[in-house]
Amino acid sequence: MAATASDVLKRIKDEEIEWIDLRFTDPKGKWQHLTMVASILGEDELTDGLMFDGSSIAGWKAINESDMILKPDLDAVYTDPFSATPMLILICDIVEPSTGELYARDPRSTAKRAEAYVKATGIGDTVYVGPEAEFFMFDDVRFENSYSSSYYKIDDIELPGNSGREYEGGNLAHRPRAKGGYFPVAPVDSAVDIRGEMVSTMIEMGLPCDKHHHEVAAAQHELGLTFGTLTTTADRMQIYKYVVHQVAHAYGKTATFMPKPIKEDNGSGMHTHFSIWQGRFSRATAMPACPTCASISSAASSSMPRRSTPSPTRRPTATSGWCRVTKRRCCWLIRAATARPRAAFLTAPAPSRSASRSASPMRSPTPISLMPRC
Amino acid sequence: MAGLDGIQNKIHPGEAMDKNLYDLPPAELANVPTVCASLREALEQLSADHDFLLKGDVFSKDQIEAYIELKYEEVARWEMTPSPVEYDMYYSG
Repeated sequence: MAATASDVLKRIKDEEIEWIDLRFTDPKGKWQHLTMVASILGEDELTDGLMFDGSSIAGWKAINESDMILKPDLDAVYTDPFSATPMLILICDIVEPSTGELYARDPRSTAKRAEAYVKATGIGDTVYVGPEAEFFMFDDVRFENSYSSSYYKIDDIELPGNSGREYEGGNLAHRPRAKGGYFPVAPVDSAVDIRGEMVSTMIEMGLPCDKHHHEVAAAQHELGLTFGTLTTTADRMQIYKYVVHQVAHAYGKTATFMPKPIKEDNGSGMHTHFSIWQGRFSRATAMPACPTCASISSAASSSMPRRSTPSPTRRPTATSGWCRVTKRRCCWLIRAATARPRAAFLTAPAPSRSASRSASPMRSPTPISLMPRC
Repeated sequence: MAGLDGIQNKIHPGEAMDKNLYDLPPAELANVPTVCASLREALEQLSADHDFLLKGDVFSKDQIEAYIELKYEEVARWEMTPSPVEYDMYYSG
């Protein structure tokens, strides 16, 4: 159910929130923010939004038509765990004051229009997106582009070039080679705890997460954010990047999502799973069906022994099974098992969970377009 | 070779431009032909249009194709090398 201004005001009061951070995404995808003293915000501001000068956001309004409205989405409210004093993040849409319409150059409005367009086409009514953003973490990054010099210089304990370096206190020698980061255990993987803290911070903020791991390049990593609807997942990806940057800083590291920081090693991508559904996803009805043979075969379930593993915290991370047509084991893009709210998988007894899924012949939310990854 | 091709085929080189090209408004500038803006673009053009170079057996097709392949190695090397400008533009994105 949609939250109201009074819900948010109650939360501000109950949690003794001092700051409301209004956040929006600029045309290049960077999260921007305006921090308001919580006590000055009432129902009107929360419901109608606040005026701000949009002319200084590159790619938006001209200076002579600078006024725009930051309108909080009251269903996109998150606690900022990094603020020294209690802060709520309100993710905002940008509204044109002259028309009251969403500003067409606001990327969040594009996401909303895409969701509306899917419905309008009749192909489905819900888009699920599961992005997997990769990033690097370094100890030291310097770069310069000037009249007389141009260089970048990066360093990290994990970089293979440091194998012969003398460190005060000794070189402990365990580090990935180029393209060798996927994925030996610690101490070759130097960042298990940092990634763990990133994921637990996102879970604390209400994001559905399922894993983290080292990536192929030295100093490269990935966290598992599980799928959600398009606009909500776009918001979550902004939180993901924010959390990665902030937790890295707290550990004295610097994180980047830039596509190609190192020539001799893999770059960072964001492998993204898409699916269009008729009806909302629900775990009970999300028994994996092979998109090729379109059946939930007993072979599929029997070939997945992990699905009945009786540990509440060990769950399958992808729907997979045996395809009757291709005669190969397949992995489907909808990761049914990871859609559960955290509380559910921590408390639900595993045997009944697997029973309810394998006993369900009905899949009322019909996956419209699932791409197999065989 | 391009000049000879123009003479043989009576290709008009275009009217002389006696305006300052740096001051042209974008709409007018759009109609002014330019040389290729990058090595990749130049190689794509050469690959698509090189019959005029084969006349008189001055260049051979094999020679041009080998040259294109060789120069594409430079394109790949250039395009795969990170630039400090990328750090400036994308590090915090």
